[in-house]
Amino acid sequence: MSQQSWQRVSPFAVIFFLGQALTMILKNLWQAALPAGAFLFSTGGITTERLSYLAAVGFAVTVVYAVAAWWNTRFQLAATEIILKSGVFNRRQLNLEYANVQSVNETQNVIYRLSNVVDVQLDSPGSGDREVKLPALKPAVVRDIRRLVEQQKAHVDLSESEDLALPEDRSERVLRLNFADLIRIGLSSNRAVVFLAILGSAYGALATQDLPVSFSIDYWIGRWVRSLPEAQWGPAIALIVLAVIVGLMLLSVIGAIIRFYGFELFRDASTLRTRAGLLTRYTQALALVKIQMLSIQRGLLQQLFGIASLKISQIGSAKQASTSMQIPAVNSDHRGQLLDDVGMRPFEAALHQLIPRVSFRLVITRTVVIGVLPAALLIALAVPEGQTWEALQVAAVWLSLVTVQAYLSWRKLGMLTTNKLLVGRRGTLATYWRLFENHKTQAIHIKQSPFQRRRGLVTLGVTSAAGRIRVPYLKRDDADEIARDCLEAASSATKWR
Amino acid sequence: MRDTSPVTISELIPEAAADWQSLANGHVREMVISRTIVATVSSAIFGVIHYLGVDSSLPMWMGFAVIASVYGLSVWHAFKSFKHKGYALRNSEILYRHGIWWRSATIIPLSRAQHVETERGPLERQLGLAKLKVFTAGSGAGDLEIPGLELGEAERLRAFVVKRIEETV
Repeated sequence: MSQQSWQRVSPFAVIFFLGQALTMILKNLWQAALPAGAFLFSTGGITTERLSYLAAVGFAVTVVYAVAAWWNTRFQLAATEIILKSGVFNRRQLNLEYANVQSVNETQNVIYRLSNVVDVQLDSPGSGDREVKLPALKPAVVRDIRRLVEQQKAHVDLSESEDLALPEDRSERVLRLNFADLIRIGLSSNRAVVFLAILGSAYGALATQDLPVSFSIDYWIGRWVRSLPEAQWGPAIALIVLAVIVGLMLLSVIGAIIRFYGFELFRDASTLRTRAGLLTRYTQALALVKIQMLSIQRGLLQQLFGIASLKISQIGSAKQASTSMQIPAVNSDHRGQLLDDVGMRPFEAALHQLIPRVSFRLVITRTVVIGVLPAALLIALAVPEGQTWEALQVAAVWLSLVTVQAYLSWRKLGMLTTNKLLVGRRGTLATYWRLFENHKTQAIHIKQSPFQRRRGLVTLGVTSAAGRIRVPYLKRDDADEIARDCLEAASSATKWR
Repeated sequence: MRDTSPVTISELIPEAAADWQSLANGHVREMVISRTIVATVSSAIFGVIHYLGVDSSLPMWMGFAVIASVYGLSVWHAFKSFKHKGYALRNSEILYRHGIWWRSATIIPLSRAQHVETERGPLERQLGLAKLKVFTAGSGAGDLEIPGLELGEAERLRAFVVKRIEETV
């Protein structure tokens, strides 16, 4: 084992630092643009030649920076801590004790896979900048790091533990997703819709420019439809809509395959570990005792396929509110086993006890504030314009949608405590649950609007280190009972447990 | 076991809860002075812009009237909000409430506090005040800040919370 000596990461890390430098430039674009602008104006204006020269110089400087960053990045695997020295202009030394490492996560992009190196990130809890990122490490070094972290956590004497098995050697595979699962994940994901929304906005922005007509999708679709006999226009438009939907589904499935191909979940005595990815391979680990919160999502299509997706969160840092492990599809058997693994089995029982204890006044308030008031405003603005009928139609549709949404989301809202867990539920069509152990309560937030005060209602938020469960319009007595349970549990617990 | 004396959770929301402590009177002065500084600087900037003859659609008197109205409202808000701010300390928790119309109460179990600090800005130093900040682990959603405490009281609270943190580690 290569302890007690300074090591450099592989030269392939230059790719990582190049990416880091480019991201930094993009984030501080106006600062980067200032010297470039000064150069262009002082040399007589913007020309293609000057821009090319500037781009070449900029790229060369970035490459030099990346090489310098690689050269200055050194680390040492000491007996109880990892020491990282880094930085080009501002030198930084970070000492992170293995005992404080929450998880060792690995990422391997295509180039790294061909070169047999891995990016490693060591997460630690707390409010400071405490993550260690080591790019392009040889697998043997990664094994050393993981072994040291495991040994420290298990309080094993280093001198006697050279042959201690690595976690994966004694772990059991809990879940493996096959190709059919990936298709189900893709079909039930809404990422493609989000992609379409972004694409649509970009196209809309482009369409306002004076582009040649041949660039317009509308033009080509219109031309094709008009080339058909008039009787076929309806089916043709239906076909286009269908093609868009199928295209989106296909994109979504491709996305799921790229991200979750070969997904496997392992468990040993102290850790959950996942491995997935078609091009870039991700390996992630979470210590069971560090788990703070579990989020479960079940959309309409997921319900149809008999699956749900899970997110297991642990405490984050200043940069991230929480770090989490995503399990994209589990059936009810796997869910039960996972709940057992993370100590949240009572959730299964709590599922049947969750009743909407939220006051129905929430529906009335939302309908009035989001539905009636904007509708009334619309009608008031439309009457002088002589468009009353059109406004009434829009208002009726809007009001119906808002009322149905308010009612459905009220039906889903709920919060309860068991003797061990706090469970919150929300959603409109899909259902989302968040749960954590009562004793992990970090803070209680109670809020009352003037209306809620008159009706004896409160909005209750219970915060854990990885997120908050918040439910509005709870009856005061119910909210007090939940708050009491959580505070009792938190007061009798030790930190981090 | 959690010590719930002297306030029960169900007494948290009513304004007349028994053991809520008011903030120091200096906190109102601090809020009024800081609002006065903002109003003065805004008026000065507005006056200079008019003096320099920059074209503006707003007549000078109207600009000052808007600034004066906003200032008046913010001073009223300072007095009104002061009445609704308060903190309470129990053996197991620290509580803070605020809000005129939308009233909020935050409760931090002391077993969850990570560290605590007092902070004093220039104005607070002049007025003998301090802020108490209690930090919990994670994203910051569970942190608590109590402004407008007498310095001695802030130090006393800080010492108490530190002691509780040490006891629960």
